[in-house]
Amino acid sequence: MALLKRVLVANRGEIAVRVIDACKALGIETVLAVSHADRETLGARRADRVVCIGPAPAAASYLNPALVCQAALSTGCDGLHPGYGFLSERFELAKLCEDNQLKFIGPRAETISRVGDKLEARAAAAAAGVPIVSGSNLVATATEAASLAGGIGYPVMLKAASGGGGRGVFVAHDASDIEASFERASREAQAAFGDGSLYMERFIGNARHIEVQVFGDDFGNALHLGERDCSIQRRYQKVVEEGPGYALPEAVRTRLHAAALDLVRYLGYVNAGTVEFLYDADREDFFFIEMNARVQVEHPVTELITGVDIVQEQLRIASGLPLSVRQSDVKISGHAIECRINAEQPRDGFMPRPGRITRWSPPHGSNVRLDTHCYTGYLVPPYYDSMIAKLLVHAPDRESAVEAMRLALDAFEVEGIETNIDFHRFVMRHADYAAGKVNTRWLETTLLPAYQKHSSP
Amino acid sequence: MSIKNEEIRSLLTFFEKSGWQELRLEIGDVKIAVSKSGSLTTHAASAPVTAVTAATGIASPAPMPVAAQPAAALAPGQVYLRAPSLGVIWGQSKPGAPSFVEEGQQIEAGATVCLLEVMKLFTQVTSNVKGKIVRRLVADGEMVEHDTPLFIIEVA
Repeated sequence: MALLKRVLVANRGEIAVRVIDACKALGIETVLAVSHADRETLGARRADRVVCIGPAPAAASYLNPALVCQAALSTGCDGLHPGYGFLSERFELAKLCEDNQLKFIGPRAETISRVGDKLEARAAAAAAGVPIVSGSNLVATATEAASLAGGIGYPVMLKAASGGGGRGVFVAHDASDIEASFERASREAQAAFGDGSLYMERFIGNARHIEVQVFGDDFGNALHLGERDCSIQRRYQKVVEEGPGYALPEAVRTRLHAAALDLVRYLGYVNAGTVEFLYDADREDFFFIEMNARVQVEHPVTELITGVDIVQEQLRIASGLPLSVRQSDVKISGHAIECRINAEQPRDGFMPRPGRITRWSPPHGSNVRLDTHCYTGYLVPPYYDSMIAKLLVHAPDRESAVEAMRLALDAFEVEGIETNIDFHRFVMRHADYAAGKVNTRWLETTLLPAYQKHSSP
Repeated sequence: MSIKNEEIRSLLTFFEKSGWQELRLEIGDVKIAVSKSGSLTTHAASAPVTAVTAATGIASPAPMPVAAQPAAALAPGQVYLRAPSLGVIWGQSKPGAPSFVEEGQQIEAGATVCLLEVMKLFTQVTSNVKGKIVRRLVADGEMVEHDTPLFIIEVA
């Protein structure tokens, strides 16, 4: 079995560069599909060939499965890498690839559709013996929600069945606000996903977000590369990620990895994925949240602490080769932290701030990794996500990693646009963060008020 | 020499009433470019980006040669009709059928000039200007990228 020959990269920004570099390392040719706004990006300079598939708005370019598939077939590609976001977890694209003898670099279409539906994923996890947080199936009305919520135990979360990214999620603290929360969640779910159906889960107040990086290949091998802690979130969007998980009892860690692998085997999962859990720090117990059927933004955290190139493994698996790593080879070494650098203004509600970068001077060092598509003179377009870089550090332990990140952030200079670099400096210097005394609500309830006080003139 | 606001206004009114599709005017530092046809037929669609680069005085990397360079330059009064997205071009409704348009043919605005195929889905590409087909630039079955010139049209 040989590697794929030519891969179409159906994404933009730093992940396009990352995938192109991984292809190059394996001797695979690359074709980058770009929108009209992205013809002069770093990815476009590095790819062997660039094809402009449509105008700047993503709906007319990056979000059109037929366009990217046609681009791949017309340029003689035998594989397609969807990156993250955009079409990466859209059943339609994976199916279109399968129907046209184009290897989709990700799980099978059927798997994507199965884990993409939150309730079906929950059912699969339960069937695989993975702990799920107590909750409900679809709830049709506020009255039904109210009658079920007592059994689950308040506070409860109302969540969009076809949701993601924290949209359509509301917490009801007691019976008095379940009706209002139901209506708001249903309305937002309908607006964001075209499907207003909801389900409920017990709300865990002191929770940490812990996720396990997993793989499966065509030979039935299942592998995990340890876990990441992504508890620093704003509106359910990750801001800082790190690995391995800290302050996690060894017995819990072992069970966590076993649970993730149970799900991989149960689904017959192929390629890279992430199994996300909520860790209830008070009860020292964890529950399945969802599975992400793609490479994650924060995958470099795991690459730094394991030395495994996750995107290259994805390419090998998609080529029909077995995983190049055995479980016994996986050794976690040190601690890694990632800060998502965005073109946005934290003091103004984190509003995106696109524009031209007049100075781009990132930090350097043997313990620093920067995944980015930016450079001096680059115009951050207003059409897409505001993430412009992922800054990572790797150090022997968490304490020295936090210190290394402080230094790296201090040395990071960007001019011409506003960024959240200074906000990250504040996070890294907060005593709670340094002590690891955080949960998924810490950023919003503790850090943001302190930051606003600190940064107001 | 400069130009006053009311002069620009009357110029635009005149342009609106005229049969022209595009107007480009330079008076001193003032440059005016207006089009009735949107970005589809203008041959300077990327001009605003270039202008921003120049205005801020920042060296940016040389543009990647993305789309195939136009096969022919435009004469005065001519415009490109460009591909609305990536796809495969077909000049007739099915093999053996007559071509939608021939070189030299007069067409009305809204006339179908070719088909654009994306994963077996065919979209009619229509002209948004009235005029004469001067040249067809893409052969049957060829993949084009977004914005690739497909035809040169002499605007009537």
